[in-house]
Amino acid sequence: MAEEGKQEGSQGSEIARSAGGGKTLHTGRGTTTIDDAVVTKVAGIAAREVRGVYQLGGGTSRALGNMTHRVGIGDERTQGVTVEVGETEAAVDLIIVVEYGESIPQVAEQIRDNIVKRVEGVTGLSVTEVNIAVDDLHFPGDDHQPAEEPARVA
Amino acid sequence: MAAAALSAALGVAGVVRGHDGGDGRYVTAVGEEVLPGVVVAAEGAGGYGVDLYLTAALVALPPLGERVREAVVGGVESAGLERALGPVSVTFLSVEHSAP
Repeated sequence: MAEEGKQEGSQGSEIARSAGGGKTLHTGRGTTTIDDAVVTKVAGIAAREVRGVYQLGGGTSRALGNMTHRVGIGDERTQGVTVEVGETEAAVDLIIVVEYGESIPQVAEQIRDNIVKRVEGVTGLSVTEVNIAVDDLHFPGDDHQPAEEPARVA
Repeated sequence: MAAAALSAALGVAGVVRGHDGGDGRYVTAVGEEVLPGVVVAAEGAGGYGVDLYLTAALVALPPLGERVREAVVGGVESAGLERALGPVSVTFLSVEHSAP
């Protein structure tokens, strides 16, 4: 596997960035690689764990995500999440829908804390920034399906 | 060797399943059985390198990778194939959250 820059990790191992995407840890008997998709998924899961987050993704990605999820090819945990992963650091961009009534600054701060904790704990990458865009507010009545209108003719 | 390596890897706490790459790229056929998440390739030195592609639980992945490697070496040794074993590469392609 082609590699770009390397650095010394713990226990004499070597950390490198693989060309195919993902963090690679070299040891004497082989390598351990963490795919970028893992970082994306962990960040998405961490964001969803925060109270006040209704959904991830902008309007288009939510609609597309709902459709792909329904046919079994999408993963709603990664929609609205973009990561940039370097040799030892990661940056996360997030689009969210917040529950109406929640404090957006507080929700954003809790998301940041949780993503940093989760991504660093799971992958060992240091999270340098978490950028959050609030795309929409969710109102409790938004999920209510309108009752079918009775037929006007028999 | 593929079966021994995958079986050993799946026995490690924190490993959920083998990952076939989404399109069946990372599988090994052993007779009629298809093993997802393991590829064995001949190395120049005469041994066989084992590449594992895994879905893991939401745990620290670098140490999990090391535990998987140790388990695979042990599993292949138990199968009497240790002399043919080359490097063991572990790639985490996905994670799963146990909470609903």
